[in-house]
Amino acid sequence: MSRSEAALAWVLSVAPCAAWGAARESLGDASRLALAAAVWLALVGFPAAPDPAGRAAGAARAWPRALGLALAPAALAARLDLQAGHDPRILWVTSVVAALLFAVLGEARHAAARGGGRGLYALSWAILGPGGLGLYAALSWAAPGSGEPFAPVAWLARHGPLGWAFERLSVEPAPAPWLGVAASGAILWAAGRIDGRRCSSGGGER
Amino acid sequence: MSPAALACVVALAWGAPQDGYGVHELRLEGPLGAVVLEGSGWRTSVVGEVGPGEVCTLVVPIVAGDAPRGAAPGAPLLSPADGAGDAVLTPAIAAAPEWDALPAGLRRRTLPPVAARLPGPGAAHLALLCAVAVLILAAWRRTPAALALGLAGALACFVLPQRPPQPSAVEVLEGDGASGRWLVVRGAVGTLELSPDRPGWCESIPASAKRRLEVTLDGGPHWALEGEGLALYSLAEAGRLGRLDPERNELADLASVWRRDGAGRWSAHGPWGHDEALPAAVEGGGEPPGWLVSVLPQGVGITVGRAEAGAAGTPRWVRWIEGPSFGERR
Repeated sequence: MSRSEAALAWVLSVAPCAAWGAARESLGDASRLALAAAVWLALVGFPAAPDPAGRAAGAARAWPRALGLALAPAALAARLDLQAGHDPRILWVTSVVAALLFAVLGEARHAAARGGGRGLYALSWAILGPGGLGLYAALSWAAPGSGEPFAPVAWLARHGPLGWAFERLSVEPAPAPWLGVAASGAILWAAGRIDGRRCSSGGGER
Repeated sequence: MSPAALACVVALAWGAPQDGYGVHELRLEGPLGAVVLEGSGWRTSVVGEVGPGEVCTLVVPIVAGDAPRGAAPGAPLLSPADGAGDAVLTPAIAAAPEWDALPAGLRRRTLPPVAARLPGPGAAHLALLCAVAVLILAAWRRTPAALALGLAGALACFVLPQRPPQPSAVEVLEGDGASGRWLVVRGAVGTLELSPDRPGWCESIPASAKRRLEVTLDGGPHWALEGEGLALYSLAEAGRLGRLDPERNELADLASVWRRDGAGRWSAHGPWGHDEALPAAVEGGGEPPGWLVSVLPQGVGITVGRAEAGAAGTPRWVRWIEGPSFGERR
C-alpha cells in the first residue's frame, strides 16, 4: 500500500466522523467503525499494480504501517459509536475481526505483488470484494420483486470482507456468517500466496 | 391479523396509560445523605445532604400504583440509603391525577419524538488525528514507529474528553375542542425539569429501571425526571387556556400555523396573532413535522402551529382538535 493510497483511506475513514452533523443526516446511527473498516479493507486489499522495477527494492510489508495509520480514525469512530449507543461487545468484535482481515488482506496483497500482481489474487479479490457486492447490488436493484438475487451471488456479497463490513453498519447487526467470512479470507490469502510462489525472483510492494 | 392480535393493538393504542405522580410531604431529620422512595415503576430520589440535627420538610413526587413489597397498601416504601437520620412521609397532599379522567381526545395524541443531539468530535480530536497521520506519513518507511504512533493516537482518542450531548427538548400544547381543556406535554432525553409541587404524569421510552423522579435539595428543591439515554416525558393539565378556532385565536401568538379542514385538506397560514382570526392560506408555508399531524381523527378540523421557542430555544408546538374525536361521538 503506497503512502498516497494510505492517505486516501485515512481521509475517507475520517470524513464521516469529522463531518458529523452533515453525515448524521444521511448515515443516521450507522456504525462509523464499520464504515471505517470497509474503507480500509477496500484499499488494503486492492490488488497492487505490477511494478517490476520495484521488486528488487524493499520487501518490507506496507500493511502494518497502514494499520498504524488506521488505528486512530478507527478509535475515534468507535468512541462516537459508543456515544451513539452501540453495544461495546459488537464494537469489540468488529474491531478484532477487521484487524484480522486487514492483516490477511495486506499479507495476501503483499504476497501477490511479489509475484507481479494481477493474477489469481486480483481475480479472487474482484469476485469476493467489490465485484460480488456490485453484482449483488445490481441484481437486487433490477429484481422485479422482493426475491433474493441468485444465491451464489448473495453468498459472495455477504461473506466477502467488504460485505461483512457493510453488514456491521447496523446498530444491531445480524450474527455474522463467521465460517463464510473466514473461508473468503482464507481464499484470498491462499490466492496471494499462490501468486507469490509463481515468481521465484521475489520483489517488493511499493 | 388474528382477533387476539387486533385486541392487543387496540389496547395499546387506546389505553396507553401514563404514570401519574402525586405530591407528598417528606420530613427529613439529619444526618441523611440520600433518601430513595420506591414508587410504582419509578423511584423518587432525594439528592442532597441533611446535616446532623437538621430538620427539613419538603414536597416530593411519588408515582402511585400498586403497593411496593413491604409497604402498606398505597404507601411507598421509604428507605434511607445513607445516614442515621429519619424520614417520615405523609399521605398524598395532592393525589396522582387519573389518566382516564382526561377527555379521550387528549389521551390519544402521539408523544413528540425526542433524541439526544450527539456532538461530533471536538477540535482537539481532529487535531490529534491530523498530527498522528502527518507523523506516520512523514516516516512512512518506519513500521514500528507507525504502529506506536497509531496506538498512541487511538488511546488518546479515548482519553481526550468528549463534548457533552447537546440538550434536546420539545414542548407541545395539546388542546381539545370538545372540552376546551389543554395538556402540556414536555419531552427531553436524559433529564427533564418538572414544575415542583404539582401532580402530573410521567413517561419514559423505553420503560427502564434507570428512570427516576429526582428532588434536588441544593438551591431548590428542584424536581426532575432522570434516566440516562431515555426519552422522558412529563404531562400536566394546563386548564382552559382558550380556544383556537379559525374565528379567533384565544391562546397566544403563533409563528406558523397549518390547518386541516373537516374534509382532510391541509393549508398553511403563516403567523397567527393572538385574538385574531385565522389568516388566509399562503403558498409555500412549509410543512409541519410529521409526528404532529399523524394519528389524528378524521372528519374534524385540526390546527397545528409553532409557538415562540421556550427557554433555551426549546421548540414549542400547539395541536388543537376542534370537535369531538373519533369514538367520542354520541
